[in-house]
Amino acid sequence: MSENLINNKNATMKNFLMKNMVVVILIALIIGFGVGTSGKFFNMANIVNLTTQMAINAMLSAGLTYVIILGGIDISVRSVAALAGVISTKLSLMFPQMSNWASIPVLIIPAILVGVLCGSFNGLMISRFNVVAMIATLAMLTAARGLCFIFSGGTAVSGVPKAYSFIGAGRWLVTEGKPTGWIPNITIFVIIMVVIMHILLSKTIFGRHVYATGSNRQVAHLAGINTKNVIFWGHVLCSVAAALAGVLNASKLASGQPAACEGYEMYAIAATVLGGTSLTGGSGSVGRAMFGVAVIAVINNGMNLMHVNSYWQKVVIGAIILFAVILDMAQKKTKN
Amino acid sequence: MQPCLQAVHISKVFPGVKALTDISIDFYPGEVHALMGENGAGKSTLIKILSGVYTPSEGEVLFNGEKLEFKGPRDALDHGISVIHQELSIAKDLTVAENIFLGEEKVNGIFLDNRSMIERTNELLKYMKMDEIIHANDLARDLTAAQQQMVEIARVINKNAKVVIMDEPTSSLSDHEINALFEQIRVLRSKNVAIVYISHRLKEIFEICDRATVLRDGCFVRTDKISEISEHDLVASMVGREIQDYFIHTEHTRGEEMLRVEGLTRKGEFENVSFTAYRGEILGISGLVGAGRTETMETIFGARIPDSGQVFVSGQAVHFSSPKDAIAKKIGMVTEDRRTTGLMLRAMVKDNSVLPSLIYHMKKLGFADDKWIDEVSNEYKDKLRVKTPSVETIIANLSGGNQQKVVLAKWLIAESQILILDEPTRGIDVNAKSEFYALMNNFVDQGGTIIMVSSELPEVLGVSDRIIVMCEGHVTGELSREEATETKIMQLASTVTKRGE
Repeated sequence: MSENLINNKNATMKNFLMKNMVVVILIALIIGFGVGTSGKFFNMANIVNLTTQMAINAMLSAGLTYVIILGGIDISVRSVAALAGVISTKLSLMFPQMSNWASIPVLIIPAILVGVLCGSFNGLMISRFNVVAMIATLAMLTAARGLCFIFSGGTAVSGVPKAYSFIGAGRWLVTEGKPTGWIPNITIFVIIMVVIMHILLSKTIFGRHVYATGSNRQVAHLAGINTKNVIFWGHVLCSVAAALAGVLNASKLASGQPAACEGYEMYAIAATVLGGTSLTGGSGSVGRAMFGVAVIAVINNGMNLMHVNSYWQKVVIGAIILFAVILDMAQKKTKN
Repeated sequence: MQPCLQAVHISKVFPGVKALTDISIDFYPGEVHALMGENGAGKSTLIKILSGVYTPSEGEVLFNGEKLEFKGPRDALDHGISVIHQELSIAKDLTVAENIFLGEEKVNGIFLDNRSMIERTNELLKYMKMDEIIHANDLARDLTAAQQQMVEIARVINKNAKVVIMDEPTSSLSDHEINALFEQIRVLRSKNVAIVYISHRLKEIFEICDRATVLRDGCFVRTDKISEISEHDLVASMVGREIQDYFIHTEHTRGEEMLRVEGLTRKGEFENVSFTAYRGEILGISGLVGAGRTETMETIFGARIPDSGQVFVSGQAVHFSSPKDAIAKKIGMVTEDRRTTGLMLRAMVKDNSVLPSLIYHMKKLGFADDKWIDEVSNEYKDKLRVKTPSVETIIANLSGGNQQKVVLAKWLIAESQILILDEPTRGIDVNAKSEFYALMNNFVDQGGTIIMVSSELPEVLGVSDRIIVMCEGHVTGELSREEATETKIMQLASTVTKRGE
């Protein structure tokens, strides 16, 4: 009897650790790199820098969380992001004298436009024509990249107005000791967006229906939920988030690169899965995905500080993606 | 009294099959109306039409005398027609409260009103006297099948449904749980809800239902008040002929031992299962759903690995690590679910027929022997009288009975000596069934061994030479053909063996 209790306790402890593995990993990494870089990692400048490095992946992961909970995937996010960046930089060239605040619509309007168009196409193919998500978004991946080169004329869009970088590279809270400002605008912007996406998923009917559809589409359908619409809007949201990530990236770099964001979808998928979103759908959360984003950013940042060759960094990230998926599968097994 | 839901001259045609022909039934408020018939009689199709999942090819559905045009399940739900499906329709990643309000979430502005949904859930559970077992925030995944079913019923009560359709709601419940379910059904009935109750279990029908309609082969047979019909008449009209001549049983001569299982155990599925099957016999395995029969058979076939115990083929100890090993020892298995594990639905008849035998008939360099494939698949198509235009037809286009014949052909071509059949006649029509039984008899006459798992008592009694009964993962008894009766089997099937504490 008492043995049973102890076993149960062990089981719940194990469950708890399994569930919060990403937090454990994050803490271990922070301590590890803190020691490995003899404290350089904890430098205030580095921490602030870290948040800007997280920002773009955070945007992508927040959107991907929706489609992965729906039981699908979107690998087109990297070219959708690049396309939004190209179009937004092109647009900014028309307003060379624009003010800092005017740069916000120049970023957001093209992002929403590109996101809604690409996302609708993905969503339509997947929900109405029953194209497998991997294939539909693979098609979009290629097509959107093609459009990037068409709109940019094959070269990077450069010479953007200074104000264009206000969100991506500017900082808030200018004080006497710190004329460049303390908090990166990009960090504030992304935090607001991520919080909205988190609430939409966890507190609204739409979010609840995303979980239900991803958990069991037939059950959701029989409960009177229009699962086709849920899947459609999930993909639109994912693409809009990706497009926002793309314009932020362009704003940060002050240029619209047609080949931008290469490989970003892998970082985002890895972060989402590390954050506990199941690749088979039905469970996950935007908030938890942010822990995954942090893990990846910390690894990249730490390895940079330790001067690890950037090619090796890719190998490490690849291994982490596999690790995340194996973790996901192991959790599935304990559930059943 | 005015019927609240009416099926009027409904027919439904699927490509190649006429599932329903001119069905008219009236359902009254405050009545439990049994819908009966064998598998494939058209009950499931009918309830899918009543609940808006399918649209009828002909005829109409009336609700309080008004014609209903359903575009999907939403429309039926809006009219107060709820279905409790045979496969539990519950989202396992959501909580109890989330499931109860799925599709009808309460909101406060744009945000979900979780507090009031949880409050209402607690009220419902209390009302159902389930509040000590089920909690609003439990994850559905962590509940037992019976508890999940209670959640579905809570959902129906919450919706204030006018019509509740229950498709075999007791198939995964224990006696105690069935009583709890019946209590809820009586409550619903007293609230003037019309209940459509589908079950194979006669005992339940006579206990809970007020009226019964029998369907056979997609046609209406009769509707009677339960108080005015006998059990025997009901069964006779379901089967359509006297049960005695329905199962063809020939005398077999039992030969040497073919398969022996000793102390086979997989924790949580079955424990200490032992039995022997001989050449020239059909060994029936009976028991309720969830007794661990399928799991045991899959373990013997190498699809699952046992925790302990031993399997012997022809007296020789074997260790199968995958079905490939079992097939090499001439064992074949016709699985429970033909459509997902028995066939490659989108492939041709001939490719399905030869799948397990392909590696034994390869040409040099691993090329497939197309000539052999054509010959052998045609040979068995004729032998088993599979009704198909050619062996190159896509198997999804065949009727269930003919598909099942191809599954059987697959193992005959593989020269199986021991055939494990798991619910072999599920979802095939009456004539195809008796043809299938003839093929089974034929196989056994030629020296084969059949182990047949079946949940249909008449089938087990009619076909088997010997019957083993399982309950909750244990073998609870063995009966010879002569001593076996429905009552004896049911007793053994619900004998809960005491487990070591």
